[in-house]
Amino acid sequence: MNAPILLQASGIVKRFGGFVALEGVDLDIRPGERLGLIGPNGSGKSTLVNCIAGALLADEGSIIFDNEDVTRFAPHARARRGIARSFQIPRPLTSMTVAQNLHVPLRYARRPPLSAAELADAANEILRSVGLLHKSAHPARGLTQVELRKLELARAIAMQPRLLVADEALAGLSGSEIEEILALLLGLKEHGVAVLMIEHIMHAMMKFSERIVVLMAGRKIADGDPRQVVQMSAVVKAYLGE
Amino acid sequence: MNSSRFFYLAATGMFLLAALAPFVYSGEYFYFAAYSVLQLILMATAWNLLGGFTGYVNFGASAFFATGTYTSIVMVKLMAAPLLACMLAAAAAAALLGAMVGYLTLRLRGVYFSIATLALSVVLFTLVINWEFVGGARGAYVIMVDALPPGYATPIQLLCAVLALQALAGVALARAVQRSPLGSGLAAIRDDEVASEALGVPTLKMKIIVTSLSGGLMGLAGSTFPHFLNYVEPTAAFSLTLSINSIAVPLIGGMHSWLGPVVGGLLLGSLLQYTTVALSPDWNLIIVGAALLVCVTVAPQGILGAVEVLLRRKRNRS
Repeated sequence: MNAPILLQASGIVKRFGGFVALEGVDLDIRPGERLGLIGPNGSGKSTLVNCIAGALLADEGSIIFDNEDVTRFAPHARARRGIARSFQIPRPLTSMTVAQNLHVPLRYARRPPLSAAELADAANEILRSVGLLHKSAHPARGLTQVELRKLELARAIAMQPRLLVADEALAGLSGSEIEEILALLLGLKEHGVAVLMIEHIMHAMMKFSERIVVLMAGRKIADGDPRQVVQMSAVVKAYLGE
Repeated sequence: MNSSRFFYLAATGMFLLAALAPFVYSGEYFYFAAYSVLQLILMATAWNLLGGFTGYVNFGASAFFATGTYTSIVMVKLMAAPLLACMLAAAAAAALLGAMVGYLTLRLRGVYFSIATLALSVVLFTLVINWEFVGGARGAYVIMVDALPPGYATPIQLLCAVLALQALAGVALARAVQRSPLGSGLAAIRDDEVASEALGVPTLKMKIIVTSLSGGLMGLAGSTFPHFLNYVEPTAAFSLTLSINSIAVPLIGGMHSWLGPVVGGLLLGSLLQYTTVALSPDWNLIIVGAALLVCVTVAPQGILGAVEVLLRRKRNRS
């Protein structure tokens, strides 16, 4: 367990007015690790993820990514350093085609910059790997829910991230679709990408996660092996009550 | 022939047409009308950089135009500056104002941004009517100091050629932006700013670049206005009609391409000039309103969008 640490968030505090959403949360992620983040609604999962990806700035605490302090960085600066995210509700760029949706991260998040030919090749390659190649020239606004989820992941993969933050990537999908997206996420391991996933679908979470962290009312109440974590009394209590 | 070479050849041809016209035709009204149409095209092109490409609706186009106009007036009053110096200073001042407005986008989006730009124009208007040096509410007289080149009979003819050059430069800039990586970043911001930022697009930097470019072009459009009229009063420089027309033209022509404001500006500008003469200037706002209504119902993507749809249908049929 002494592998180097990719992301180290320490003492993260986030307040919205008088409401404390995160009360000093610590979170470490190792390279290539698959970490599940669970907790009841309102426990601060999305807030934590937004603090890590940069959409929100933490009020206190620090975030070290790959030995660099990114606590105050704008989201695009974190994206370029290797933190990709997918959104809870897919956010396609609707005036563009599916391929053009990939061109944006390929053009802006990849360093060194790609040539026009490399860019087109890379986009096709990624679309093939997620099974969207046949939709490449289609407008992104016409995609189905599962295709939108795939596009979200494809755009994240296009950034060649070292950490992917997936906020409910499986929400609203049917059984077979969940398996499909889960297979894509599991495939990222081959590329050495660490994944931090928020999810409510527990069977998918148990299959996916190497480690699970549980948040409850802005505090971390458990962190460890998935099978042990789900049997801890504090976790059961958080979900089911006394 | 590739499209860029064609574009620059056509642009050079159009500029030569405007520059050489005084040698063959000297009717004053023609140059007056051409100036107005070109000014509209330049304003609409500048507005569209921010409104059409980036999705931020600027309701205060006249604030940038007037910044250019009044910078020109200051330059003439201070040092009897030649036209070129006025133009450069005006563009620089309005670009600076644009950069400041760019910072506003950090906090203000959507309709709040539009209201802020409208307020900006009111604030600047109030400043100007209380600024004695530039004539306050009474207005200012400006006489062009430059000598007319041989072959030109009046300043209006020269200013028309200058505005043709400005408008072509503005259109060339808009076209270059649209085809550059900046253009795809702006389109991403227009579609979803939060998602773009997460995909690595430096949204704030890009917005400041584009508000500066847009503001600078509007300032350029305003820079020759005092020389054109010889007398400028604040209500003419801060005209709400100008702000509205700058929005109406891209809406009518099409907002997603540099060509939209050109097509819309030629059509609406010529129509407005025609009605001014044939009916009365009072008809202008009614015409703009009617054109907008027709456009919004029949061709919501503007004329270019409607043409695109027709072409696609034709292609699918064959």
